[in-house]
Amino acid sequence: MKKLLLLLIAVLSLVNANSQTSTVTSRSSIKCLGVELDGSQTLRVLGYGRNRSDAKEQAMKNAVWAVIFDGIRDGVEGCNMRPLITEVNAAERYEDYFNIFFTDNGDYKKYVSLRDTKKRSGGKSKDKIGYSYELTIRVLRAQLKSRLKEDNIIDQKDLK
Amino acid sequence: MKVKQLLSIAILSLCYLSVAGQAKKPTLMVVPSDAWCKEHRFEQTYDNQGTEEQIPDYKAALTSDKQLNAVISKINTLMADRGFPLKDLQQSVKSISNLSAEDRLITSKASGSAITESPLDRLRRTAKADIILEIDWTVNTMGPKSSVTYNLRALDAYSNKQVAGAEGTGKGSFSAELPVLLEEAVQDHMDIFVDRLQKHFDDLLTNGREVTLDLRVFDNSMVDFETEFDGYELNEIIDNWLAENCVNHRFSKSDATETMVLYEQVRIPLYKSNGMAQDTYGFARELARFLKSTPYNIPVKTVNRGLGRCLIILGEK
Repeated sequence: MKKLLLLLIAVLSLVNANSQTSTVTSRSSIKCLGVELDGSQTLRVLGYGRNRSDAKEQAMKNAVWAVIFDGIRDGVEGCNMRPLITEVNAAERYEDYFNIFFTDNGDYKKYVSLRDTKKRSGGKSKDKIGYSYELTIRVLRAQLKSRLKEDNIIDQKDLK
Repeated sequence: MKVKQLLSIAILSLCYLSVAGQAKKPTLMVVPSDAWCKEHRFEQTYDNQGTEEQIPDYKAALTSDKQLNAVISKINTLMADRGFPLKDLQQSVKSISNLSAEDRLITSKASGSAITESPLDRLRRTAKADIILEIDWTVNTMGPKSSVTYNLRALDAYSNKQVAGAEGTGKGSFSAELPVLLEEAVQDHMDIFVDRLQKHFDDLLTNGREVTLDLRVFDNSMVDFETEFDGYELNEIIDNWLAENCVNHRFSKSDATETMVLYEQVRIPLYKSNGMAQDTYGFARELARFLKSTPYNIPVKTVNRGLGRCLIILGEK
């Protein structure tokens, strides 16, 4: 009985250690957990920063950035693989706009919700340089799209 | 009771990890290699402007060689087990037969020219597979034991580059069934093979598709690639347009004269700016529209050459 328990704990810690190693080595990872059918997407996102709050903020930025420029490629089916902006080299073309949009506590935060984040569900790990934090974030894609249309970053008549 | 609870938690967490790790996979199709088709005489001859050329006859191979179907089916299963969607060669070939019947009736408006396209191009165009898996194998017999020597190559249908490969010989076995021998031989290398494939596909999503653009001029054209507009030669103007419209400004000008320019490793975006899916032809048409606009006003003919290549001819439609 005790042996079985010990074995289970060993297996679980191994799984945990594995995920922690990957979080520190890869400093950004985004996976789809599901869609809310209201245009928003729930994502599991990794952020890296000098402390926990910095890593959390970075995770939120990564989530919004991925929805705008990269599309969501990993995780369960359902999230939009196609990014909001499909214009080539858009990050470079609208650099000035997005530098302001993604400042710390900037406008990007209006399109992120932590409603789906459960307590103690964050994956954390540290290394000498900083702190990595993986958490569940809901990105309000529909509202984000409207904002980008209003600001003429994406064309009003585009398919996205 | 506690053990049961712990076990359920462990199983649930492992399930979550496996679900969260799923990724979008490229579409694949397994075909026999040209060498295998030649060895088994599944070839057809066609007239390529006076020169006789041999190309694989997949339809004949699929309808008359049961081993081929078994091998394709086995590779399909092995890839499907690793979560890669697969297109079936047999179904694709059927679809091509119908389309080629229609193609034979199509001619150009001006000169009445018929369409010229190799069956492999048609196969790739119809199937829309991102990657072709080419398989070649030989059965070796030593006494009662048999083994399989195989060569599996993944070719990017756009750039024709080999993006992953696995080759080797399986351990000798008393089983005479080809699929079993093949599975034994392939099994050890399959994970590395699919890992390389996935890396290639991730690269496509990040850096765009790699295609080739051939630019030529008709002999009666008023312009060539050295014609100047506002102090810039036409080939420089096209360079600038490509730099502006390629993902991360990546392209390579392999060759250029006054009458031709060859652009290779042109990284085109996966989507058009309006969100529609982009292909080589669509990208070439955008360049054609740019050249047709003021101040250049050059009429351009765009010819699709398979998934990853386009010919753009300046001077006339």
